[in-house]
Amino acid sequence: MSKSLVIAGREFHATVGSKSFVIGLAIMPVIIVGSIALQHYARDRIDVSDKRIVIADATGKLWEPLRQAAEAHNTAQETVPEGEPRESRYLLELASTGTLDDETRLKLSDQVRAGELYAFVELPAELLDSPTAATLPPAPRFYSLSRITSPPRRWLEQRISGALRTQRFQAAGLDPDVVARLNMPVRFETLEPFERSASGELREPERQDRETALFVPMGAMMLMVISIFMTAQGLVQSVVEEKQLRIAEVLMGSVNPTQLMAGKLLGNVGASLVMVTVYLSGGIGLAWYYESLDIVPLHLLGWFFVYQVLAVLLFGSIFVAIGAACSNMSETQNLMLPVMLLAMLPMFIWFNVLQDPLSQFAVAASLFPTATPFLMILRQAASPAIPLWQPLLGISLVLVATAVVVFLAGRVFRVGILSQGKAPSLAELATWMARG
Amino acid sequence: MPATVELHQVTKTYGPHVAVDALDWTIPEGSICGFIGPNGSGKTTTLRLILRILYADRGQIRVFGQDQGTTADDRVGYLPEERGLYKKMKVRDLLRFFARLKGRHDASADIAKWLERFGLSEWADKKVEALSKGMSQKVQFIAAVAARPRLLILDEPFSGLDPVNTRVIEDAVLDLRKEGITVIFSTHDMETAEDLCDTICMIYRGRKVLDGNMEEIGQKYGQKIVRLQTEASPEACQTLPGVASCRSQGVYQELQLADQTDPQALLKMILENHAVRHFEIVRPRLRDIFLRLAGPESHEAEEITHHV
Repeated sequence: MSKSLVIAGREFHATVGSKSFVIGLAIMPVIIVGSIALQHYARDRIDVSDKRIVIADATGKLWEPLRQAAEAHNTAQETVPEGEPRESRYLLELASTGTLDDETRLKLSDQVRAGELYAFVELPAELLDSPTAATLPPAPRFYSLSRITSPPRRWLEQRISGALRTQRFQAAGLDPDVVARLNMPVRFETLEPFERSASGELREPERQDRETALFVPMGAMMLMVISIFMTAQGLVQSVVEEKQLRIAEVLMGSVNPTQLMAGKLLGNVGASLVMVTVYLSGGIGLAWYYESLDIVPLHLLGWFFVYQVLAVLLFGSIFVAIGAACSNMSETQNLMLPVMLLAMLPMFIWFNVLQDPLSQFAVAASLFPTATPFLMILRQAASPAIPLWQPLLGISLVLVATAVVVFLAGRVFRVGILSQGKAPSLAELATWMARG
Repeated sequence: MPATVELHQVTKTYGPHVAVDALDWTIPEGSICGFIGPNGSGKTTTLRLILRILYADRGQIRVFGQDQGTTADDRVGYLPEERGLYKKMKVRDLLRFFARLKGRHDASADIAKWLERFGLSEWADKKVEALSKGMSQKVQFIAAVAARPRLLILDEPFSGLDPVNTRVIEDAVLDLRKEGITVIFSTHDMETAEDLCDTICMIYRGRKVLDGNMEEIGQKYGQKIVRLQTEASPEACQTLPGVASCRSQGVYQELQLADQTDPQALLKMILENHAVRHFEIVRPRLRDIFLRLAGPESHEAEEITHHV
């Protein structure tokens, strides 16, 4: 064991002290902060120039509400405080005739192409007809060069719909305000279940925040996956380097393959813990700064570290075996891909698991050893109702799986670490595992 | 003298290839043992078996009187043929690391002593990547001895070294022997083996063909050669009874005697007719024996392996 610790110590220092680790550690927050900054930058850079739009209103009833809405919108833009996002002003013009002939359409289209006009809209008279089961009124036409999701188009569509609804309600003898009130949808207030405190008082249930329920567990899982990915490369590289630089045989004169492998895994666990601790501290620090510490499930920190260690041990032992089986980094790529996919598997189903953490699917998926560390923490963070036996069973299964993988990987390591030349075929790998 | 290493009928195969074939070999404590043989004859495999890096298929290996276990022995220092060091580590840290792996956590004084001896003190805090090849080899040697092993296994320790550095390592090996350390080293350098070793073992295609000290080896496998300085012409020497061949080497003739010829009887015979200025029974060189046993035209080794 002490020899493994000596190896682990060197491995830890070599990893944590390397430039790539420090750069990798720093680059993640830089990317996150950078993408947020980029979004802010992009938001301030959207086109907020005035938009001239010609409306040909054959209904004779929609122009006035549209004009009023545009006026209200434009006035609102003038009162937007400095630094806040502003939208374009909409300068609506009524066409001289309610219906347009093709020549006029062409003339207006030329103006659109020339950039003088943002769009022109035709509102046919039949729009006011009440839709029946058999017939729908014709759609208003919007001529423009803008993309489908452009804000003026969306704005105008909503305003025309609103104005039209008001017209239809009035035609049917209904007060639009009354209808709007009657139409009010229901929204749940989501709460934790009631419970009785130790002193015997009924405790007020806490409100659940939907966003917290999604993002905090998701963040924990992502952190684990990232730490696996970031340390995997280094682990494989260190084994391959020891083979390439012929250090392996020097080491094998002093330690046996199991000690060497255990040392490397422990060193790697240490390095990954440094990484997640740095990120977690940063995250918790930010939450504290923004006075949102209550959204961080601090009671799960212990579980998180247990899963983190298990995940690194399980995947690390596979990566060590891959390194031992190959002679250079390019050879390792083919063997690493399936393992990486295995680590990414939880990313494909996390949403389903989070939507219903107590479903049979979620339970089964989170008990699959390579997914347990990622999905179990996700479920525990999403729902307090996960029975204790599930994480305990999950941890036991991961430990058993790790023991099996370490045993098999140890055999591959022992044969592979001293062999040079071409990478082994899958059949050869299987033979190494079977015979040792 | 008790044996540090004993191999009894040790066999190791790689698939159909027999790397080491029923090898018996005893290495006395405190001796320097040269391990020779052509490339691919199984030397490195044998050394790895002694180190327990590999496991034998058959036979028994005892190191310090103990049967083969599964863990590396801290009393054994190893310098492999293919050697490498962590390039990014500082020399002193690296040597401490290797000593700690051998269970010695207080090797700083020894490391300093060895660095001093090899003229590497000022490189102690430099990274390994800054060292020249010769320096790296010396650092590697220190890594093998810093933990004070009782048995030192050196696989081709002199390959790639210049004569000055070869002498430095040779002297170090001789000093280690004085401290009672047993040394096994494999080499292709026959002269070094002859000068340095108490015993020599040669294997050929996995089997032992030579084992003993130079005296015994010379008697057993050496051809009898006499260097002669006389007035007799080379042609006259050639016709002497019991002389297989005669080669003129300028001032003297080199006579190769037939197996049964007694050199003393030959000397008497020559003195009867010619004045003799110089008569020397030449000790057979290991290099010649090696070539005789392992040369491309040799069938002798094949025969020996069936009798040894």
